[in-house]
Amino acid sequence: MAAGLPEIPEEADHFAVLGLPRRLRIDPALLRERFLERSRRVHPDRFAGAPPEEKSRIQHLSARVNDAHRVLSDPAARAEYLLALEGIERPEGEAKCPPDLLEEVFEIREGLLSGAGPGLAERVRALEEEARARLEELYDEHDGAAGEEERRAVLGRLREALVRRRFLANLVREVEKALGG
Amino acid sequence: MPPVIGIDLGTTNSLVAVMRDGEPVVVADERGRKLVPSVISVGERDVMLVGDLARHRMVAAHDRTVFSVKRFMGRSIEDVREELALLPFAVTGEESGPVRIRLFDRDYTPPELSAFILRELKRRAEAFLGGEVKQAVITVPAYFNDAQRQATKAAGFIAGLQVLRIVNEPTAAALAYGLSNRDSGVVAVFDFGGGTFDISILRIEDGVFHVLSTNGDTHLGGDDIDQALMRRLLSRVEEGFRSDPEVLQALREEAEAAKRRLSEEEETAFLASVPGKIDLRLPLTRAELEEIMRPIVDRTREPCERALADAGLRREEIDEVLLVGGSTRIPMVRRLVREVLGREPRAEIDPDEVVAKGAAVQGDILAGGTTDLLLLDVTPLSLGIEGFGGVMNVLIPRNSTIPASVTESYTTAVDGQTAVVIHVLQGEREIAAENRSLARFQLPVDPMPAGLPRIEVEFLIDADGILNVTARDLRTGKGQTVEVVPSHGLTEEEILAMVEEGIEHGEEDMARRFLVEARTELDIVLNAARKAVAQAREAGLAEERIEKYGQQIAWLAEEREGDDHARMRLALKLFNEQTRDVAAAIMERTVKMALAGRKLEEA
Repeated sequence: MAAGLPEIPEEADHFAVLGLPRRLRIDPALLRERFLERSRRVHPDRFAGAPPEEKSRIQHLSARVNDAHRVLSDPAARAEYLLALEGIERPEGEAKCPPDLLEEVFEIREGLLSGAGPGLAERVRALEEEARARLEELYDEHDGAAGEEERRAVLGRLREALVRRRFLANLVREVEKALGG
Repeated sequence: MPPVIGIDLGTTNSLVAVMRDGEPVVVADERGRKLVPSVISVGERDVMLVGDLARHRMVAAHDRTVFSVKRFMGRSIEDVREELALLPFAVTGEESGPVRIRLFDRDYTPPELSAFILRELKRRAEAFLGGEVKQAVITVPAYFNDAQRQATKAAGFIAGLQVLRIVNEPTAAALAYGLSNRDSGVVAVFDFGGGTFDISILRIEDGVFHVLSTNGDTHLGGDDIDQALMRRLLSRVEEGFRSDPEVLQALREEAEAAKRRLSEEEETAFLASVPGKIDLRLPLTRAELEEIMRPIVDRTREPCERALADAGLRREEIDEVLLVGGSTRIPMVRRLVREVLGREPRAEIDPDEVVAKGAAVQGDILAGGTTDLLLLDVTPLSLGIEGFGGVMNVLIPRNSTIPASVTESYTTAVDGQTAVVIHVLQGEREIAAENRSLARFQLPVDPMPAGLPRIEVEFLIDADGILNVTARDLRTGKGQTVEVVPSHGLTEEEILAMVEEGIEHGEEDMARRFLVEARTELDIVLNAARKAVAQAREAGLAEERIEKYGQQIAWLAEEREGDDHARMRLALKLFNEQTRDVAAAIMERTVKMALAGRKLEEA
């Protein structure tokens, strides 16, 4: 970005807006530093005296900085975003149950209906925790990939892991709601 | 740049502040009063009275006076139906469109009424600065939704002000504190005012005030405590007078006053009298009041916990807690703050003034005067659209830093479809119908086979927290801005018509205004003085003195009929000086009687 009048290229993605590499591990302190530095430059408060069309442009620039910060601050959202950038679309609609969990989830839902106790919630949470840990591993694998081919392979696995995680997060909510907590 | 004034448009009181020598200063009137009660009354010759004069007419001219207008900004009749029974003025409204408030001989929308208050504040600032003021920053509760923000902005326009920014009250307060205290840390702002409650959590770092989360209740404040106390005391009123506007108003005034006194004292006398209707004199203790207000004060707890969770912080990580709003003077509220936020709160800056001061600082930032501070605020509520099956699809989650935007693509489902309907919602519920409907609009589409049109819609929440929508037809490249009229808001045309009307108000005859204001002031004093004659007798004042008092009243009444406002003000000053002894004697007796009331009841 040039100094003076703020400019962000139209095609810049969230990583580029904040001047960060396309990685899944981002140092929170660095993210924050970049965000504050850019905010100081493009925030609409700095251009209150500008003509209306300029103001509207500034609102958009500022929104792009904020949008980038919002998405990149949340690791799962960051990963989803990266996949979208790489053309790996998120499946439409509700997250579907991963095939290897079908049996277990069926049991859990049965348990809910028959009024089986709080042990269920713990079981679901443990599954979600596992999925989360798997995601963390994939973040590292992605950033450490030796070549483009390997990296693309990780992205494929990441796609599945994200759907799994989302499904389980919904299931945790469902179970907690059913158990009244 | 010309000055940008800072306005705190409150439920109970409003204030205006300006920057002077790098410091925010709240503007006072010629008598040093900084608070302008948010009360509007139609005076003699149709002069609109605002502030103290209007407040004093709340009982005597209850049919010509309205208050707490902020509670109606951007709301529908359904939103406010519950509290209408205790109001002495009529509020009506249809399914869509803003509510209408009856003031004397016509109906007004809440923004029009708020504009009267804003005009008064603008006048004050102009008198103080010695020049015309055109631009302002106006504060709103952080938890205000889009419709409420738009209504506030509209009020500014109607009053002839260019509203450069709508700022959240707790954030403004933090800014006012930040001027004298520039270190880094996490700050929680607990803002409990007359009508609204907000909690905001900010991280301050190198002059950047970054709001992490906000929560609140736009219908929770000191007004609710007054109403609860009123409801309790209504049982002491004869049944026939329980919905009498004059009685209700007298109760409301004293409920508020007694509540205030009980923040200082452990015990007070509740005194409300309307000749021929009620004559209440009873003792009230702080403990009794706390019992009554506990359920209301407790409602501030949950928003605090949610704000902490959303900020991803534990309460031990809060470095400072700031108190804002008149209701934070209540000892019970302070106890709750200590308990919930785990810190001894700070209140060095008058909690009534701190928001207006912060607004002035923000005004100075916009004017380019202050360059080392920056506010990064958030949107309090999630923004979404209604999706298949009536669910809400969140586009911009709550607590996103603003400006924030998101772009969605749309197409058609049926051949030859000529419009796509988009229903925008604000709220946190999964079911669309359980959220607030913000706006419903249609994007025109050229008739084509289903799925062929490609329309890109950008939803942008601007720095005021207000939604802007632009749509672009990807095939033709044609762009259009969609006017988002909130379901209970005003259209641009309606606002412009009100601006026109407002200009007429602005050009009214100032001599006439001064005269009516002075007369109103004399009327208030005369009214009280006439009632005081009997009380003076009861207080055991000498008959000679009472007779002379009667003559003094007659003299003032004669002066009231003149047409020189300066002379009237002088007469009033003389009257007050010469009758101070009578006022003192009456006050002494009243206090004694009220305290004796306890013994009577116990006996």
